[in-house]
Amino acid sequence: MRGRLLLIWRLVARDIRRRPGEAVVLLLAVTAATASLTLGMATDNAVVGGYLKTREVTAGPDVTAITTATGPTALAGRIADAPGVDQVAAPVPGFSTTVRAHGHTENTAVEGRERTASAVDRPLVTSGTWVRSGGAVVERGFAQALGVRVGDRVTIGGRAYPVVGTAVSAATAVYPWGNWAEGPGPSDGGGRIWLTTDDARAAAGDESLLYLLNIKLSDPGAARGWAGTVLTDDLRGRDWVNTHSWQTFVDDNTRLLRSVQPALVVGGGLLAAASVVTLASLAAVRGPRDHRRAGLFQAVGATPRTVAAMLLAQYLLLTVVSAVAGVTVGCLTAPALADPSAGLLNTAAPPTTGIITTATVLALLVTLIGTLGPVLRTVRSSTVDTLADPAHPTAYRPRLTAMTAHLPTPLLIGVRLIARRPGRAVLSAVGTAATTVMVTAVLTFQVSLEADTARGASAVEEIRNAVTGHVMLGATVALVALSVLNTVFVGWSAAVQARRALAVTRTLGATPGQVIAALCTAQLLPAVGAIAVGIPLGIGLFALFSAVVVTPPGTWLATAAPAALLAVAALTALPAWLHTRSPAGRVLNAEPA
Amino acid sequence: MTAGPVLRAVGLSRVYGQGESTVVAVDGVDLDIPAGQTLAVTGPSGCGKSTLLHLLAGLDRPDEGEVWLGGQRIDRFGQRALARLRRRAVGFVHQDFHLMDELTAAENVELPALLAGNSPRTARRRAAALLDRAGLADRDRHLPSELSGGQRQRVAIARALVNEPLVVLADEPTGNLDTAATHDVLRLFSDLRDAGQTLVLVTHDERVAATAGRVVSLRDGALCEDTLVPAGGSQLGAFLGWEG
Repeated sequence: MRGRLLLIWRLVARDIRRRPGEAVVLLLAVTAATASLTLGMATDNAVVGGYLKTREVTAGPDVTAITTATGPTALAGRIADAPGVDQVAAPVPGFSTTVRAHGHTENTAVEGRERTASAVDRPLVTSGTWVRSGGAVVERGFAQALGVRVGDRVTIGGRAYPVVGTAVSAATAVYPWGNWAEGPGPSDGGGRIWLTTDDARAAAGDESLLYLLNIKLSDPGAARGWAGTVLTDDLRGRDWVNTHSWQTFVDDNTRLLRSVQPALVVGGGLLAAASVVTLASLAAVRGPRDHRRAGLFQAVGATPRTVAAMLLAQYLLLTVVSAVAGVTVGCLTAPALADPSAGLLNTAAPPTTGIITTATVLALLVTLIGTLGPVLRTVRSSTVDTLADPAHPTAYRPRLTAMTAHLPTPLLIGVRLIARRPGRAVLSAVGTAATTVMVTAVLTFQVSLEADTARGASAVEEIRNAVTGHVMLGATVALVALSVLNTVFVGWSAAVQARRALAVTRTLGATPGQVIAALCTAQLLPAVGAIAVGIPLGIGLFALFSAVVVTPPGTWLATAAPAALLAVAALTALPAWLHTRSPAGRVLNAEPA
Repeated sequence: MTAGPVLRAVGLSRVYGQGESTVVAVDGVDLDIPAGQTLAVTGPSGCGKSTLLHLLAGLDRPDEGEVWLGGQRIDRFGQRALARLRRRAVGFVHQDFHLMDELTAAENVELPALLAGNSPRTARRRAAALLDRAGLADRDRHLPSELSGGQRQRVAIARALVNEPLVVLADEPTGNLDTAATHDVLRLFSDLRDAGQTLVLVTHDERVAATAGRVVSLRDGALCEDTLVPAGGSQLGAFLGWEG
């Protein structure tokens, strides 16, 4: 076994060294798909990780109780004596109001804090200093939304305060769900600002204050059910008391990104489809070489299973590396995506078993779908045929030959090239369709976004739309890049596989220009179908995940479709042109009949 | 060595195509090859020499007849069993060498030994000994592209011998070589014959065939001549210019 493993390793390593370009293509394709999928799955994980880190650093509460009681000290004392309670911080006065900065007006909670650190919930200052008389500290995510920095001014209750610092805290959900300081009734959401206690009382004016009690429990895991079981009427008294557990803050934070995940997962799926095309093209280019290699192995006594293992090992080893790279990239990128309002401390959480398993399965599926067919075909071939014959014998289609006889030369050769390798035409179409779906979805998103903005989007929707837009753009850029690679690669493999036939047509009078046009035709015909299917699919897919759907203007689509076809033709022309540079006679001499 | 023939063909037939385009490549061949014999199979192009060799090596299956190797009937073996048999009992030398381009000479020779489950150290030791025997000890780290045609063929022969097979089958082993390289390869075969290795050479070159101890001729897939050459060694010597 050791000897066989050495042999497999030797062959894989030499192959990568001899053809690093092929290895890089495989790595890029599979990594892009797994990274996108990982990102889709890891954002929840990253949100939880970011919140937990913030909670740990800022001594975040397990439960936050909000009360309208005018004398909250007595309530705090009763809660401190309740079972399961470890610690209750001194009541924090606060109120809900609006803040103005740089012409924007937003809802906000204002908390009155001492300059000394509290026992529970000690906001971490991320820039500037902690509260001082006459100065405000703005929650970091909220400061970003308002566009304020240390030294700017914010107006609360008609009075301007210089911003002396920004901070993060785990005692509420991130902006725009940071405004807890509202009494009974629905919340309007908003941000969070800290002043000194005296400044907060002064800023409240006639507004009635609420009090915030930050509580630590002996069992933080029981926080969600604590209020229901412990905070009874006896304990609560006659005053209104509302509670939030730290788990509800996590839920609110992850909800902010819920709309982004479909874009990531669907983008990952489309990237996976494009990756399959890349790998299948790679397998087609490698076909003759692998075929010969398999024949050699079989001739020296390798069993079909060993031959399959050797051929697949060269793909699977790189696939595993790609899966690791994709999961790493996804997990490292997730924190940036997971904290769109900058309200949490970023932390790259390690991938969960589920993420690792799913990403690995996707990577393996992509590789196996793209390569298993050619490998099995090779393994099933007889040793003698494998050593002597081309990798993929072509079928004779007399009806097609007769039907295409009257077409112009480029179309005639192009259609016959498609007929020689219909599988490749399907692959090419799948890759183009995946890109068309994504591009159409992005265009639909842009148009729908404009309609949504005109309708008046909330702060939450604005954040969601911004992140979704970035994610879709990122996935589209990756897909277009992969699609460009695929088009060149499929064009290259078509030119390689048909080299002899095309050389013969040249000896019969076809010009290099006609041969290039024929190869472009062989790519363009499947692309036309793919674009025709991809446009409605893209709109439909967007409609599945979005409440507001506005179809892009016809002129946009009418421009995008020919532009895509032009790009396909241009990208195919390059490898086609390279292949027509060799004299036909030299090609015929080099290739066995 | 086994008692009786090492390799035996009984009524062996192989037909390609269907209907009017049927081609009988091998037509009822009976052949016994005793241990230690060097047999040359000759005949014009397309007479079925290579097909016969492929059938004897278990690379292809006959439509009719039997193939016995080392006392075992192999024509009914499945793919896996045939692969194991080729690994253990058959060494095959191809006209166009069929070396792995990305492996060095030594690594090419090690390949069947590693496939047979030998340890890397054993495979390395055997390869070194065989390359030394083939006069290529100083070329062991060279890639096939860095070797001459004759050297490549000698590497291929060393590869065929690495698992100490019962029989070595060579398909036009000098077909792609110039005269000097042909001499080198035939010298190596001569050494093998002297060491008692059973050899079957397919060749259309009468001079190469004359170096064997027995020559059979094929025409239209059927055996038409079977000649024992008692003085095969002297003819080899004459061809190689060793006489006088």
